[in-house]
Amino acid sequence: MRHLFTQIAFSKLLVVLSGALLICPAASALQFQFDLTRDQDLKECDTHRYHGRSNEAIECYEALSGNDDDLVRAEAEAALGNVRAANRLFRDASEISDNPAIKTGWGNLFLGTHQVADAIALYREALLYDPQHHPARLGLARALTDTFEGEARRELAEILKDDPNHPGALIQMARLELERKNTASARRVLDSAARYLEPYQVPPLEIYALHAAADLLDDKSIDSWTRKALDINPEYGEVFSIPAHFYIITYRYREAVDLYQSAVKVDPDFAIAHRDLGVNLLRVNDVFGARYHLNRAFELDPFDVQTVNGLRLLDGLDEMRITFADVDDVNGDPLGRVIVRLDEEEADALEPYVIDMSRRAMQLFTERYDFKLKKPMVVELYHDHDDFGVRTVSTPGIGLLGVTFGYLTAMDSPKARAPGEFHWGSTLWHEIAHVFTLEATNHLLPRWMSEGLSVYEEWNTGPLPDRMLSFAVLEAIRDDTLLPIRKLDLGFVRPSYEGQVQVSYAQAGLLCDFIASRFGHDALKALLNAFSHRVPVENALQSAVGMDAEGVDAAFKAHLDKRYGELANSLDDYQLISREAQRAIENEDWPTAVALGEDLIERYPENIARGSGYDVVDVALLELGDTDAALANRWQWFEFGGHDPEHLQKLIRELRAGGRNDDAIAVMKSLMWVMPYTTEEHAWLGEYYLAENDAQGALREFNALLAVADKDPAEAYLGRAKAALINGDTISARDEVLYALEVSPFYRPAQKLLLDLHTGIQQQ
Amino acid sequence: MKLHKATIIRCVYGMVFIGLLHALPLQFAAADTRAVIVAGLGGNAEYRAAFEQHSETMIGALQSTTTSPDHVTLLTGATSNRDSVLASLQLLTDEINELAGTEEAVDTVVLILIGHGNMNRDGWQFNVSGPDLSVVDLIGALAPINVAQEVIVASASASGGMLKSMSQPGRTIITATKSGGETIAVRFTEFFAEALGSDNADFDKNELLTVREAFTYANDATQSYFKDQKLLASEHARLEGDDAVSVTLATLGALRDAKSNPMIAALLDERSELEAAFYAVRSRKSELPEDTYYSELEAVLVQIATLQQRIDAELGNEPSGESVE
Repeated sequence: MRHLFTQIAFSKLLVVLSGALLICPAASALQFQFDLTRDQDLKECDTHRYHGRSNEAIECYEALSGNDDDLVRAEAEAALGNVRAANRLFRDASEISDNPAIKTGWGNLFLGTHQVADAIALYREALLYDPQHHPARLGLARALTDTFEGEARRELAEILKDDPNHPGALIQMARLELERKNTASARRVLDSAARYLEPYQVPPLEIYALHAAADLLDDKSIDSWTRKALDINPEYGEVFSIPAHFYIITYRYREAVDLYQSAVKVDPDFAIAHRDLGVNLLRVNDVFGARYHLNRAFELDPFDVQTVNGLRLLDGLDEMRITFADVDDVNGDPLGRVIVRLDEEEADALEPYVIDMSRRAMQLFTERYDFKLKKPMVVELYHDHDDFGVRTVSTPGIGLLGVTFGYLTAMDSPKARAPGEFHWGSTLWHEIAHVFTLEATNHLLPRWMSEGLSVYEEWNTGPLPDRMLSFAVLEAIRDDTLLPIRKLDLGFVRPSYEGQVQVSYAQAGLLCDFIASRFGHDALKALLNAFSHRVPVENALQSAVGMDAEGVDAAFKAHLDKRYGELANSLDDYQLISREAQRAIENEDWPTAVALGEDLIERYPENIARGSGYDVVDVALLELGDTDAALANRWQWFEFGGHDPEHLQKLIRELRAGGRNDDAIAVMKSLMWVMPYTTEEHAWLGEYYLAENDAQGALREFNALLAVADKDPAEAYLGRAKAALINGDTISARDEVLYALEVSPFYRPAQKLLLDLHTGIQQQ
Repeated sequence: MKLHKATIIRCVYGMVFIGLLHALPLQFAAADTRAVIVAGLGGNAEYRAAFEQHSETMIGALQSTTTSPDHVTLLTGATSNRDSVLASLQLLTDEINELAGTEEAVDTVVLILIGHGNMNRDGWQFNVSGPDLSVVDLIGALAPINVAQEVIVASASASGGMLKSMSQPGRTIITATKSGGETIAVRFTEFFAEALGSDNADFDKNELLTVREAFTYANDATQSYFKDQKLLASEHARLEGDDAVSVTLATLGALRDAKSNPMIAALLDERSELEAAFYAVRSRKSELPEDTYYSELEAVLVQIATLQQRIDAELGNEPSGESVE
C-alpha cells in the first residue's frame, strides 16, 4: 500500500501552506482511523489500504474526487498523497464549517508530513469546537507521544474516561507502557483494544506490531505476530519498524537494523523505515549502507528533515579526516584498532590526543572488564555541535556531549562549545568505557549500570581527578530523593523533575563506586556478566554482592550518609558562608574573605567550580600580596580536579615563573584535555619533550601547534625539525626548517638551525 | 588630551634609513611617514580607557617607522573633535606640500580612527566631541594630500559604510566592519593594537610589520573571539587597496634599534636585496618542481641567514637557535 501513496505523492511533490510553509508527501506510517463518524465510502477505501490492496485503494479514493462533501474529498486526496489538494480542501472546508473532523483530518495531514507543531495546533482547534471529539484528542496524543509523554497520557486518559473501550486510545496507551518496558501491562491493554476494534473497521495490525514489540522487550521471538500481520497486509512494514524502535531505546542498534531491513523488504517504499535504517546503519558505522537508505528515503520523501539532516551529515563525513591506530597490550599482543574521524581543520591538533587516550583506554578497559573488542572502535569528534546532534539523534540542538552506539562513539570536539565549557578528555574516557561495557554485555545492561560504570571510570581511572557532586545531588542525598535501583533507569529516560537526569548520572556513578569499594571491582564485572546473560537486576545483585536490591539500596544510603551526610545536611550553612565570602570580597575585607574561603574548602574540598572557596581565597590572597599562599591554594584546586582553562593557564605561568617546571608541565598536560587550542602551552610542552629527548611527544605538541597556529607556523615547523633531529633524521629536519623559513624567512632560531644543518651537510 | 604636533626634525641617519627603505623592493617602499591617530568618543569610562590605551600602543608602533616621533599625531579626549581633526589634516597637507620634491618628502600617510561610528543618510560618520566627523569631511581633508601611499584604518562600528566612498588608487583602507549595517561596538581595535604592540603579527619575522600582517592578525583574532565565545560575529573587517604589503606600520626588534647605525643600514640594504630574491623564488613555487623549488629557496635562505648573523653580531645580539649536536 505504501507503494501506492509514495509513488503518487512523489510526482506531486510539495505544497505551500499558509503562504510559506512547505509540507511534504505522505510516505509515513499507516494512520488508522478511529472515527465512527467517518464517511462510509472513505471507510471502504481505507479497508483496501489497510489490507495492502493498492490498486483497489487508488480507484476507490479517486472515485471520491467528485464527492459533494469537501471533507470526504480532502481525506481522499490526503490518502492518495496529493498533499497540495488535500491541504487546500481542508483549508476551504474549515472556513465554512466548524466540524472538528475537518481540523482533525488537516492535523493528520500535518502529522503524516512531519510537522508536529502545526498538527498539534490543529488538533487543539478541533477540540475547541468539540472537546469530546475523540479522533482529535487521539491525534493530539499521538503527536505529543515523542516529546511530551505526560501530556499524551493525560489526553488518552481523557478519551478513556469518556469511553474506556476506545481502541485507538488503548493502543496508544499500550505504546506508552512499552516505552516504560511495562510489557505485561501493555499486553493487557492491547488485548482489551483488540476486543473493541470491530465497529471501527480497523484491522489489528498495530496491535500485532505492539505485541511483537512487547515480545521483543521480553526477549521472545516476534515471528508469530509478524506472520499474523503480514497475513492481513503483506506490505505492513510497521510490524518490523515498530518493534525496531524498542530495540533502539534499549541501545541494541544492530538488532534494530535487522528489523528495519525486514520493514523495507516487505514495503520497499516505506520512507521512514529507510530513513531509520540509514540512521541506524550510521550508528553501527556502515556509512555506505546508510547513504543508500537515506538516499532512498529522500527519493520517497525529500522533505523529511531527519533524512535531509542525515544526508548532510554524510556529506560532512566525507570531508572528515580518518586515521587509525592499532593498539597492543603491554606484552605487544594486538588488542584492537581505533579509527578516528575528525574535522579536517582541527585534526592536527586533536588527533594525537584522541589516539593517545583511545589507546590507553583500550588497554586499561580490556583488562578491567576482561573483554577484548571484536571490531574496530570508531571515535568521531564534531566541531559543530549540531552535526553531532544529527549524528546521534538526527536532530540538531541536543544537550548531550557524547553518545556511544556500541563500537562507535561520537562526541562534541572541544571546539563545539565555548572554551573550557567541558572537559573533553573526561567525556572521551566516559564514552570509551561505554564501548566496553555495552559490547561486553551485548547492550543488555540497564542504563543506570552503563552510565554508572562510565562515571565510575571517569572518577577512578580518567584523566581528571574531579569528583565534585552538584548541589542538586547533595540535596537529593539530604532529602532522600534518590531513586531505588529498580527504578533508577527512569531517572534517565523518564525524569520526573528538572535536572533528574544529571542527578541520576551522579547517583549511578556513586552506586558503582560504592559497589566497587565495598565488594571490589570484580563485583561490578560479575554484575556485567549477569546482565549479559539476561539475568534480572534482582538476581544479578544477589549473585554479585549477595544482597537483594533493597539491601543494596539501604547499604548505599548508609554509605552516602556517612560520606556526604555532614556536607549534605549543612548545605544551607555552606551557601550562607559562600554569600558572606562574596560580600567580604565586595567589601574588600580580604582577611575575612580568606577565612571564609578556607572554611568553604574545608567543608567541601571537591568543589572546584567557579566561585568556590578556592576562587575566594585566591582573590583575597592576591589582594593581600601573599602570592605564595595563593599559588598553593590554586595548586590544591588543581589537585582536586580544577580545570577552568583561565585558571590553569595562570597557574602554568606562575609555576614556570617560580621554577616549578615539572608541576607546570603537569598542568599543561591537563589543560590540553579541556582547551587544546592554546599556542603557548603546546610550544612549551613541545620544548619540554625536546629537552627530554622525547621526539614522539615533541612531534605531538608541534603538530598540534601547527594546527592552532596556522597563521604563524614557523615555530611549529622548527619544533618538528628538532624532533626529527632527535631521531637522527636530518633530511626531514632540513625539510621542516625550510618550511619554517618559507613562511618566516627571518626567524632567527630557524636560520640558525638551517646554517647548522647546511654546515653539517657540507662537512659530510 | 594629547596632541603631538607635527614638527620637521631630521637626522642624518634618518635620511640614510629613508634611502634604505626606498631600496627595498617589497616591504620597504615608504620614504617617510606621517600618521594621525584619532581616539573618538568612548561613551563610557571603559571605552574611553580602552581607546586611550590602544592609541598609545599605536603611537609607539608608528613612531618606530618615522624619522621623528613628532611625525605621529594623537588626538584624544576633548580635542578629539571635528575641527581638530580637520586642522591636523590641513597642517599635514601643508607640511607635505612644503616638503614635496625635497629629500624629506613624505611618502606615506596613515590615518587611524578608533572609536564608534554610525551611518546616517549622508553616509558613515565617526563619533567625536561636538559634530561628528563625516565621510564628506574626510574626503575633503584627504583630497589635497599628495603622497604615494595612504592608509586609513577606521576601527569603529559601521565603518564598512565608508568603504565605497573612500576607496581610490593608492589608498589602502581597513574597516572594522564589512558595512554600515554592523553597528555594534567593535572588538577589532583591541586586536589591531595588539598586532602593532607586539611581534606576534610579524609572520615573516623580518621585523617589519606591514598593513597586511596587522590586518590579518587582527581579523583572525576578532573572528576567533566570536567563534570561541560561540557568538554570532557582529563585525567582519575589510581591507581594500593594493599597498597593504608595502606599507609598514611598525619596525621591531633589532631593526628598530638600527635606524641610527649606518653600518647596520648598509647590511640591511644588502638584506633587502636577498629578501627580494627570496620572494622571487617563492613566487615561482607553483611553476617549479618541488625539489628544485626548495633547493633554490634553501640557497637564498642560507645567504639571508648568514647575513642576518652578521647584522646581529654588529648589533651585539646573541645568536639564537640551537646547534645541531
